[in-house]
Amino acid sequence: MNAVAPTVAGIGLSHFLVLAAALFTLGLITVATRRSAVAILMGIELILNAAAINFVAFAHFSHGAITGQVFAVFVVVLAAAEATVALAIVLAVYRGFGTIDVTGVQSLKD
Amino acid sequence: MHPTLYNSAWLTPIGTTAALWLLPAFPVAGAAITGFLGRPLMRRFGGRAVGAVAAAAMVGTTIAAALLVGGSLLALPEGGRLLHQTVWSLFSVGDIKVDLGLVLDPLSAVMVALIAFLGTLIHLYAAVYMKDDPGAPRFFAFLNLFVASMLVLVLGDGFVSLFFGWEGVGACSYVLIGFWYRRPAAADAATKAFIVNRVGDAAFIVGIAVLLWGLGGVTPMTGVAPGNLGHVQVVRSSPPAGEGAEPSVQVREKPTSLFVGPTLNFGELHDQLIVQISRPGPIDPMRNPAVRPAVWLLSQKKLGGMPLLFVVCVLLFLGAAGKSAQVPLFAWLPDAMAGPTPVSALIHAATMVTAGVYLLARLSFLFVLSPGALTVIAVVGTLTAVVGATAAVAQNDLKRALAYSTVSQLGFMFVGAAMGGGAGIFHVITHGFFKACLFLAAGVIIHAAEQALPATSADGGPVSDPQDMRGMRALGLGASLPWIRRAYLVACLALAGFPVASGFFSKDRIFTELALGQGLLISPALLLAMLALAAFLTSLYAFRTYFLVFGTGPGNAHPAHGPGSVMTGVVVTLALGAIAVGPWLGWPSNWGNAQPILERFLGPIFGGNAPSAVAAVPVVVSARAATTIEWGFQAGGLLLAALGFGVARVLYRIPAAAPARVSRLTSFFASGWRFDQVYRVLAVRPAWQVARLAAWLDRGVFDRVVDGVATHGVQLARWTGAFDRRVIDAGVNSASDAVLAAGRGASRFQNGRINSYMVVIAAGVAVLIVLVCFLFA
Repeated sequence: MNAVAPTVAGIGLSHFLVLAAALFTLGLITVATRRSAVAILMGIELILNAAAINFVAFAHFSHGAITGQVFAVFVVVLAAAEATVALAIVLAVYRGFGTIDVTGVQSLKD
Repeated sequence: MHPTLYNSAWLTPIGTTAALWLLPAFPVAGAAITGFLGRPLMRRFGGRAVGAVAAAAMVGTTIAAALLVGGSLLALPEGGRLLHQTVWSLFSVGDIKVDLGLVLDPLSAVMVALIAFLGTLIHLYAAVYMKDDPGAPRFFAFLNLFVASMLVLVLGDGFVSLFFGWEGVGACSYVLIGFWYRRPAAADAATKAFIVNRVGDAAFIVGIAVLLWGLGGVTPMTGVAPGNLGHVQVVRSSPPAGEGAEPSVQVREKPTSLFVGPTLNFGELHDQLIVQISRPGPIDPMRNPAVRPAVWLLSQKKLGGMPLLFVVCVLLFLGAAGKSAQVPLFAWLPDAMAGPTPVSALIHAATMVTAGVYLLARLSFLFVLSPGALTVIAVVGTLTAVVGATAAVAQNDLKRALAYSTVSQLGFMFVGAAMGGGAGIFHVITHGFFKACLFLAAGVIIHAAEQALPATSADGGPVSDPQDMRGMRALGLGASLPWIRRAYLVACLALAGFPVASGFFSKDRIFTELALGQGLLISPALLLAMLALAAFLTSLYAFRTYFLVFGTGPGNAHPAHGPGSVMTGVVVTLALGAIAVGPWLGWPSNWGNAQPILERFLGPIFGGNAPSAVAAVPVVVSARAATTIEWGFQAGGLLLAALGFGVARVLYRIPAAAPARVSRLTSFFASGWRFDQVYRVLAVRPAWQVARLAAWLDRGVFDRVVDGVATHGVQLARWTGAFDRRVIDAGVNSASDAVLAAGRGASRFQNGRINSYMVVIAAGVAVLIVLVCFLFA
């Protein structure tokens, strides 16, 4: 075990990875199953957060530098920007189609 | 000694230009009006108006003819009388330049005057005669068109213009014979006339072509200055480059040459053949080849072993014989009487059938070069005269009797034309008057008989045909049609050749010229005897028709309705003409010591044919002997006419009981010497057999082959159709079906649901990760 990587009550890297994987899966399931565009965006947020947890966890348990944390902050910023754009798109979709149900937003397929 | 030009007096004059197109223009305009506007005219003003338009066109032509002939042509000096006009150029091929040109020379002038005068009178008659016929516009359009064609025929300056008119009159004749085309007899007669004329026309065309082929060449003639001799060029020729091998030919001065070229122009042809150099002498090429260079060139040529000149002349004569109903080709003329009577008078008696005589007269300078052809013409003409006269005696149908009379008289004309002088044309003129008079009178007579007949046939009499002379005596026509009867009698006197009536003079000229002529290869004695028989028969049949039609009979209770004053006037005018024309134009020189007017007027045309200019050694008949001969023929002609009259009076004046049985000779004559039967065996039946063979061949062989090809084609098409459907279509369809199915399968992923896209992407990424991490690591 690494000195710069204090363990708390025996909690190690695998716990974080499992948490991130669970979070990722939950996000993926949300994206795949929900109809509401906002809910899908929420799922995406979960996936991004899962990735951010992975960044922090790997950084903490590998070399102790803060590169991972910096990337996590980037991910947060990225997620914020993404949410802004995506919500704008959702708003535009709502104006155009009167719904944000993604199954009803079809104009290319007959 | 320099050779000198001889015979230049007979060269065609150059003449002056005149508006000759006016002559045919009037009837063409008349034909256009009556043809295109005739129906509305008739509806508004009646049929008489249509006839009036046509007659007015003829009056216009007559005035134009009077101005052109009387004013312009006669004003020119004698010997220089020629007016010409080139209407337009048709084409030029090689050296031959063909113009549609018109020429008015004395010969044309005589014909134009005859056509215009007789045509006007007959149109006037027809305007009344045809006024109630619903086809009047068609009738007058073609009658006018006929006159225009006839004028082009006689005015034509060459074979081409002449042929235009020639075919034009033939076509109009066809239409007018078949004018009542619903009657099978008329339609058949029209077809017969057309086909028989075609035989002659074919020979005519071939004759022209052979003549054109035979003409041509250049003969050197020293001593004559270059220039024009009439319509012939004398050119200064360069010596031929390649033929200098014989030094003796080389002369110091350049020789001049007589240019002799193929031509279709009568003037050029005439001058080429008439030009004679050096002293007058025999034209026999063996003895004196250089005298008439063009004749010498032409006589050197042979066709199928026969002299080309003879072949050409006989072919041209056949053309003339078809149009003028000479012996082998006369059978159409009696049938042509199925047309309306004015047509019979104008076309089939007075003008069109004389076109052949005109052709012989126009080309007499050519015909006199071939004594063989002249002999053929004279013999055929004599035979025609005899055949026609015997057939006319045996006819019972008035119009057919007159038609056979025309055939016979045409024979006389051909004999006259064969002698190279103006006798044939003289007879054309006199015959035109008295025969038109007879036909128009016949029209009135038949009309009257039609009206009177129902009253007689009610008695159960066998007579029902209004043209049958045997039934006419009972109708008392002589009393009801007094002026027609007198005119008919006068025309019969003229036809029979009683003195002072015109036929006497023209027939006498024919006999005299035949007796004095030296152009034939055989002695004219036999021909003279046969013609004398024909002349006797002429008088016999003329008075036979007169006595049968107007003879005293029981008389009729209902006098026939008389013709109108116009028709009577026309008939009487023609009768007066039938008396006056002969003495006026042909007062014999032995009666008055002056040359007959017509002979003098036509002198420039026929002068070059005179024996002194043509014959090898002219047999000079002393003037005294000639006068004696003429007196003899005049006395003989009178005797024959009187004999015919006497026989006719004895036989037909008093009604005789109809013979129980028609003798074989009579029926032989009546059928026109059975020529129709001969044609039926020789021409009609073979033609039908050929037609039947062709039909059988068509149905039995060609149709079967065509049908077989079609049937097999259908079968083949069925096979290829099946192959197409089962093999090619199946392949193409299965390929397209596979593509369609693949598309359907693939399109299930493209369902438009973003969630499923997401799942697919995730699954894809997962598969990629598995591949990258575990398989390719």
